[in-house]
Amino acid sequence: MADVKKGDTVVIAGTRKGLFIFHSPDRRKWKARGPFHEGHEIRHAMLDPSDGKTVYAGITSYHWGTRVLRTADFGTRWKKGKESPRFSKKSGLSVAAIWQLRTDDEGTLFAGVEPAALFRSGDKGESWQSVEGLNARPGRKDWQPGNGGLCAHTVLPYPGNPDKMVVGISSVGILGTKDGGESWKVLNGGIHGVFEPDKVMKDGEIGTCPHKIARDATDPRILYQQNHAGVYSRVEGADRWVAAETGLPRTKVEKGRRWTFGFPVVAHPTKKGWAYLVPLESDWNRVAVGGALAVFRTKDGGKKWQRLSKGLPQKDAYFTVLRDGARADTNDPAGIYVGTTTGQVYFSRDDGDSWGPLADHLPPVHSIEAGVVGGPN
Amino acid sequence: MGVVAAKVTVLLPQALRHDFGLKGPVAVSGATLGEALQDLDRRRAGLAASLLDDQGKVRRNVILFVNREAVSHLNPDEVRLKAGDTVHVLPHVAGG
Repeated sequence: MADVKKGDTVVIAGTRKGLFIFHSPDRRKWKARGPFHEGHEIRHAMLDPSDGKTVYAGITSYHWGTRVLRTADFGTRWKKGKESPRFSKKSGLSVAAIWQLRTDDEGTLFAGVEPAALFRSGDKGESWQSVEGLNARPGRKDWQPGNGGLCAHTVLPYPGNPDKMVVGISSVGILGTKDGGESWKVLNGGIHGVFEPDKVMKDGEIGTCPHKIARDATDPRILYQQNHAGVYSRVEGADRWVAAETGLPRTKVEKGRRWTFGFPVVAHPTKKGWAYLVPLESDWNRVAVGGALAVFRTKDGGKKWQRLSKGLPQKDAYFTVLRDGARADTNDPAGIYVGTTTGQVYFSRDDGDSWGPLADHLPPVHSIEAGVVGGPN
Repeated sequence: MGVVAAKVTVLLPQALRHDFGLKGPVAVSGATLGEALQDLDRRRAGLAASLLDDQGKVRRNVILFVNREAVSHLNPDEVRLKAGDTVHVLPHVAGG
């Protein structure tokens, strides 16, 4: 780890063929470490914000199953847990992929997996326990997979309250708990149908496809969501999500309704109401709108969005950015990072006002995480 | 009279040898394939989970042979082993 210093910004790219770690003291020149876990798919890896140096990586091997590994020196040495998240024999299920790793304020590590389930570890991933309140929830047999699989892809702890959490599951919806995972409520109210866009869901109903959810960094009661059926926001206590697409390219059309398609949504790390999206043409053409890569930013909780493209390729740039392919670091001004399935990583060091290339020729990027070594600046 | 555990050899592919720090064939004991894989796991924690899913079935993209007989479709606990058998572990030729 000798070349990674406290205070450096690190960007962790989980790709289809391994893990890459980029680091920089000034977010101008970047050095690369890796690839680590070569040949293995890393759907998600993260920097633990509690210490700013432990990196957890969720490995999903095409042949050999899943594992969670960690490093405390940015990849020089990796430690495997004694076990990986595993279903019980009674469940009849088997973990097929690790989609998301996330820690809460108390250092508990969570893994969102496929087929949709949540596991927790209190010992840095050495051992795992099933969150049965979700995993054995009545009605689970009615959960149907989307094209990408039945995946629990988003795990959002609540800052300061370990009993509260929101989980996003493809083709099922958004579920929230307030009692540490014992019971969960389905929070799909207000979301339009995809094939029946005039139909609006109610809380308690399953069957929508959240792509990514982000929690406002300064007011955790506020959530932003990029759904298959558009962009929404919701405040805790409300009974529904509210469409939030003014200023966004609404290029997906179905039965007279137009909406914004895409995958990631990112909350600014310090500014209330600020969030970012990377819209794509539509669900049947998942590339940058008009062949021009752009990131959209809101400063007012989604009431309106601004197109940001300075320094991003605007011609013949048919990029795809997956649900975890965009993230912010914890600097001020914030760095925003976008990774594509064609192996590029673009970054901004000024809240998204301007952009430049960070990496190219990577394997397809599944996930980007960013932070500061030793914790936030 | 109990079933005697047989001494067998497990041949692992390069990817698993690399991931688990092994250089060559591994000698294990077991009356059945299931027991032999458990013994393998005692030598390298997590190795059995690389081959068997959470329900104890051979992973979909893993092929197991005992000598020249394909056994991936069988319950490992019902595959009997005898002394000198070789267990071949192969990945499906796939994974772009």
